[in-house]
Amino acid sequence: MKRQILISGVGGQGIVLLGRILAEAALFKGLSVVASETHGMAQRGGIVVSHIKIGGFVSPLIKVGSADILFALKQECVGLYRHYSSPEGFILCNSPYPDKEEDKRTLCFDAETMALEAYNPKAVNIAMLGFAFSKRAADRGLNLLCSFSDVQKAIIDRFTNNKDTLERTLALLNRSRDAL
Amino acid sequence: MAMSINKLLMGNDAIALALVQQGCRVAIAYPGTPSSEIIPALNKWRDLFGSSMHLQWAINEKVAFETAYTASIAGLRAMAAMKQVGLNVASDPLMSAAYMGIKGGFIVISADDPGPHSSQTEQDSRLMAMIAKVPVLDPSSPSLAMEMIEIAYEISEAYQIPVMLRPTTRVCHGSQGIQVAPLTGSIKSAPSLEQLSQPLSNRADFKKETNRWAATPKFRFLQHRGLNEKIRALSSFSKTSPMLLNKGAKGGLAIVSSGVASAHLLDLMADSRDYRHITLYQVLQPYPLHHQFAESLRNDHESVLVIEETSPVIQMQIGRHDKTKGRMDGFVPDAGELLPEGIENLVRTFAGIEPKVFSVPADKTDRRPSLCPGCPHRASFYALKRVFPPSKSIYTSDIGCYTLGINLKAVDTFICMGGAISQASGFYHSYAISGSEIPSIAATIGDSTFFHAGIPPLIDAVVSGCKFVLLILDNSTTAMTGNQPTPAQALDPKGSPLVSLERIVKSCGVKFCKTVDPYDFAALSKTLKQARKASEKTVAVVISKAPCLMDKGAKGKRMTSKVIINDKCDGCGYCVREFECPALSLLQEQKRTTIDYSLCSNCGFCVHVCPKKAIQEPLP
Repeated sequence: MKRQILISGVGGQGIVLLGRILAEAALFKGLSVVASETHGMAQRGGIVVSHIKIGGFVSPLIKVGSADILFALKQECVGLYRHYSSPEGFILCNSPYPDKEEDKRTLCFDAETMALEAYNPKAVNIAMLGFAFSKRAADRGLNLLCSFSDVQKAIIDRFTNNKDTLERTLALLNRSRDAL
Repeated sequence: MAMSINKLLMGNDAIALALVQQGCRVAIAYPGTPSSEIIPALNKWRDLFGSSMHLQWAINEKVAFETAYTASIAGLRAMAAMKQVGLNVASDPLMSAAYMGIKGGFIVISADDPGPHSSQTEQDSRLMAMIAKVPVLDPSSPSLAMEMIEIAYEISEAYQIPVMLRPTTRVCHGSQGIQVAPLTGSIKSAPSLEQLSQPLSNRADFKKETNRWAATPKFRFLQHRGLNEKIRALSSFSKTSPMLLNKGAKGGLAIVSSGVASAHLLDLMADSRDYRHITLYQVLQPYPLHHQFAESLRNDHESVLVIEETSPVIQMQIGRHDKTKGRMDGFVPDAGELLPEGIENLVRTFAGIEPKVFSVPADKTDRRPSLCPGCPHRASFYALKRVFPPSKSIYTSDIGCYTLGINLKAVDTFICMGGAISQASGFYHSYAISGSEIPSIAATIGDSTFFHAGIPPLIDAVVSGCKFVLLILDNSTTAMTGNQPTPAQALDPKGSPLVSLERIVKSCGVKFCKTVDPYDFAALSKTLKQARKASEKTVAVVISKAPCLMDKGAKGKRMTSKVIINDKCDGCGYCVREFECPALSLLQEQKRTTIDYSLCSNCGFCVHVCPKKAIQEPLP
């Protein structure tokens, strides 16, 4: 039971937070986790990446060609980080365009619009996370090892002192999971 | 007993927890990526455990080191933290502290940044430990870093020597599940300091020993000999002996690694059976290298590959360079971070197996870090360029967010903390002495950097008769590293600042010093012109003061100037080119600039930028 998840985007999109929620969810599941984050200058609008390795890893970095799941919170990140993806790996891309028929491994989801409609325009990260648990993703065989309720628990744990943010975050998470 | 829980902790957070558990009483740092989160985490754990601990952001790393070190000679467990280039600033006291030794355990944490990701250099602090002759521990994970804090205090007190912990970015900003006991209970139910492991002493009690704490050169020689003996003894200290990670074929190949490279190697070994014949060691204490270990490597193995970041510290100490491969001989690239795929191919080549092909695309992103939309620095740089035209001016700058002024072509040089002012002096004297026409010289520096290392060069500039303009970009925070406070935020009991930037500048002998709001384009331009005039005779200083937009605690004006693009826009691209705001972009085909309102912070400054008056505030 191992999963290697690479999360990519641009500084300010909440890449670090998305990675931590996933890592904490895996811990709730009782799995071991190692992770690596980007801090510092890149957070000022540069490319930001988080590596999450679930189940029996020691190194905090994913080796090129071995990511099971690649989150691309900006479309350009697909091109930049596709080489991290394993041949069987999934790519979850924040994009308004439909999936390509010939590419069964790349799933597009308009997280931007979803976040905007939920009056939470900066929460593209949460929308993408919710989508990872959608029926569309599950039907393709995507499995993050942790469950949706583990993710909910991680979010509740994190925003326990901020009821407003917590409610808005959970609502967006649910909407994104249930979106078609 | 409350149940412990498995909590995701970042390396810096884990290091802080261990420091609290080990009874560290004085912890001082200057922020710098990747070390900056240690002090905030200490603050959290201190409150949670109800420990009594002095925490401080120092004005610079030298002050942090000296203050914390002195706590140690007063008998308390202490710690100073910094990034690798910060250790350069603190290297002066480090060298002497090694000679004099310590009383209460003393740890210096110097966080390295192989890559580099967020630093001017990728220098190896372990080399600095070697120069100073202090032992250095090199963790491969947050949990090992925690164990090493305990061992470091033990070594420090047993051998009366400062100990360095050298985590790298991947340890500091790596995270893993760590058992924390108990975290969910209220603060009152948390263990008291007494229940945690006992520090050497709970009370400061300085014992005078002039020959030691104020040693003259004659005694320094004796101290040096004593230090050498400590280092010799430490090269056989059992608790930090290298670990055998994989028992390979007898007399065959061996790989020696340290730091996060060891973690990459372990995952590699778990992944493939191809490398099981190789003996794998992890060095915990790269300096001094255990001498028996070095001897057995020389005698018991046919060939030894050393994988370490970033300099060949271990390889150098093994000797027998005919038998070792590593950073020294170029077998391992002599610069850059070691990533898992690169390490795999090093191991394959070492084992005589065909390397794998990892297709890594050339870096094709045009996305670069940039000042935030609405950042006051961008407004300052824009006005600076207007008053000091780029073709006739030299812009020296410094370390901080505003280094990103390079994107606006308003930064020509930067070297290190405080360097902007000395470099302005250097340019002035060079042109003045050689008879060339002296260009306008404009230095930019942030407030935190000015406090850190800008005051001595400003005094020197005034005293040596320099003529230039210094623009202090005062956002009253250390922004790049996560908004740590600066000295100007300290208040007296009546709520007025204890330290005033403007008064300091004037005390340095500067006659022209004016503070201005950077969002007020007319006022800033006028003040910069006055400063330019004043700089014909001497150094003139302008303080451009507005809070950082990322600083949640800052009090300042609300951004309410929503702007729109009107029909006068002809897509000339001047605003995008000269102002470089991420919220402005040029639609090439439509020949029009557009505003991304999801990024725009409504600062309204771009109204002043458009030469065609095509950016305006909407009519009410």
